[in-house]
Amino acid sequence: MNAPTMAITPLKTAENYVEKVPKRYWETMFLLVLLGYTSHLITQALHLSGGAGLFPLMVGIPLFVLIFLQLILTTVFVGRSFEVGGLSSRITGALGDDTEGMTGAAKANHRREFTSILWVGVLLCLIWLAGFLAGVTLFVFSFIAVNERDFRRAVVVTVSLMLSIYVLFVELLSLNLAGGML
Amino acid sequence: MDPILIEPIILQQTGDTGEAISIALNTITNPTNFGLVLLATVLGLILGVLPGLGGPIGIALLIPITFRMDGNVAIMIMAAMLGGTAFGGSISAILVNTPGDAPNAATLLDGYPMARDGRGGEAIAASAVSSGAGAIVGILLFLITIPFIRALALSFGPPQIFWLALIGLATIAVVTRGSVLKDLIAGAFGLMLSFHGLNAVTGGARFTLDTNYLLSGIPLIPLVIGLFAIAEVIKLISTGSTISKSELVEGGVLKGIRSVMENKWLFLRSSIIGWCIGVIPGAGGTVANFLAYIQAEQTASDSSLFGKGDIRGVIAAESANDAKDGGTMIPTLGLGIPGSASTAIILGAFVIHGITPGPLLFQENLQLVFIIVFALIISNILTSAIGLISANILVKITRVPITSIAPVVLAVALIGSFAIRTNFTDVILTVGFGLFGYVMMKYSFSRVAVIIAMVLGPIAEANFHRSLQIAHGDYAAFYSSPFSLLLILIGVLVLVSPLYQKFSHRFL
Repeated sequence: MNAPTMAITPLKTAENYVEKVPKRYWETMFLLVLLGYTSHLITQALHLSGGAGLFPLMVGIPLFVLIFLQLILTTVFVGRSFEVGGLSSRITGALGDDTEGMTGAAKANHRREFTSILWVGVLLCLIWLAGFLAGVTLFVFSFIAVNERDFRRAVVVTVSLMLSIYVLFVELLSLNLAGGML
Repeated sequence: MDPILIEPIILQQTGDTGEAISIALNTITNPTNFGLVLLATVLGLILGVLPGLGGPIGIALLIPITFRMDGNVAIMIMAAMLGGTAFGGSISAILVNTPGDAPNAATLLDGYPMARDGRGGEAIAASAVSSGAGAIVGILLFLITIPFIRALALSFGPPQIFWLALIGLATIAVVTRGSVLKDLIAGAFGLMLSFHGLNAVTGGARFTLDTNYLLSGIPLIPLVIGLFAIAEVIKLISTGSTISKSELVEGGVLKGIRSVMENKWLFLRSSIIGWCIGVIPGAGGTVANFLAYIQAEQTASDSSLFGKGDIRGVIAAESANDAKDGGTMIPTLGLGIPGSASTAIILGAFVIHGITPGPLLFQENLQLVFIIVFALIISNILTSAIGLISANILVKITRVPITSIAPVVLAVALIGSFAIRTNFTDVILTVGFGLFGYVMMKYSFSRVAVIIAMVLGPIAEANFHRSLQIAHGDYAAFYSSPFSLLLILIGVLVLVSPLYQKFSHRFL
């Protein structure tokens, strides 16, 4: 196995894993995170003195019940529709489809989703490591170069953007953009 | 650079109508400010043309840029962008069959068939004229109602403001486009987020996770930028969109203008419908757009061409869409209840600039109302003019690959979230909320509900405790006045109406 393939393997494995997990499990995980957050806040609110805990409890307890109901709907009543909506919602459309019996197009969508989230993570890491000016320059150039394979456009967009950022944020707003860890 | 733009000066504020108009005129006619209005309008128009990047994202990105400006100037710029995006969305709806934003969805039903027939120029011209004129009708209707709103505002005390905030929160159930349950979860989650930080009543810290970062609560700007800008960009990259080839626009501009004149009563009817829908908090432009379209189809003597390229479909949809902005200003400015996603973010900007949204705005910051009115009028006239002159050039924006736009929006969004407090944790939080917003979008949870709750939650809590303090702990303060009872009744109706609609559809 050559070096690039080895580097890509963990990503591919993660992608394959993402593709195999049906949508409702991801939604269940999302709801469990919300449930955990709500439970934590309710527990803390119980120990707050006076009126400070009143509103968090008034909102937190019903929220806990609502999330629990949604969890049951998501995990037990799979495929049932409880939605309202008209012409507009049909046209503007909702995202997402269950990955069970996923088609090639759906798989490609999931792969793109995974990649786009990864790009956002890359930008954050670049800013943290190299600072805003260097990190953003590197990110914008690589993003366009990788996705469009058009180096001229990558240079034009990167230079125009960085000039605008410099004039607007550094010169006009006198903002001290963070330098990064390196 | 004019000092008004960069120095955090004391906000010029007044409750006197004459003085308010004078401050608003001085602000907007300042050459630098006027230039900014034009720039924001053009930027709004461009963002409006790009599918997926509508008003809420544009305004969210403007918050960090305008943060250090005088509050009057900052709100003026945001209002100008709001005016620009509304018409921009109709250009892509007509030319590439993709609405720039959901409220332009009905425009494509007849606009795109017209463009395919080589009548794109006529459709854009009709859209430009009906958008601009519709917006002005909406604003004029809003101006007429200002004295009534001011009189109403004086009857609001802390208990009434508390009920009003609750009505605003209850509208989450009305604005729902998918599952009521999911949107209620989103709203309640937004409320829980608003409880982090120092409590205004007890002065104690709540839910800070033992960090200093959360002492001032969860910052609104990273939340808004994350939920809207970052989440939308993730969606756009992952759908590999879009921005397809445009149809050739051939002439017909004068014909389009004439069509609006010939259908003046349809235009006026649709504008009034749009304005009325705008007054209902949370009903939004999509409802106005479709209701006006359906009304045009039903009242037409010959409706056989609707959906196949009837100019009346474009006129009705676009005049209603832009007239609704004037109506939206009533709940947004007068009552502090956001009328749409864009105005929810503008309300957030009010809070960031230390301006209290709601009834007090008309007593303390009336100049802002007129600044918004003037900015909306200028931006709507300007976008219509640009639309008439340069439709062919504007449409080229939709041919720019999303892979060139996405990194630019991502970079500006993250730098913007850092710019407010120069705190890197804000950037991490923005990305976190971006991912969270994407998941919310994917599973149809309303992101607007989170923003509404974040803005209105603290107002409800503070006024609840304030009412009790004034009444020495007597809960009767909440229901002793007839006005409070009326607000309670409205709140109940707002909550019950979606259930009624759902069951009436099922059983009737």
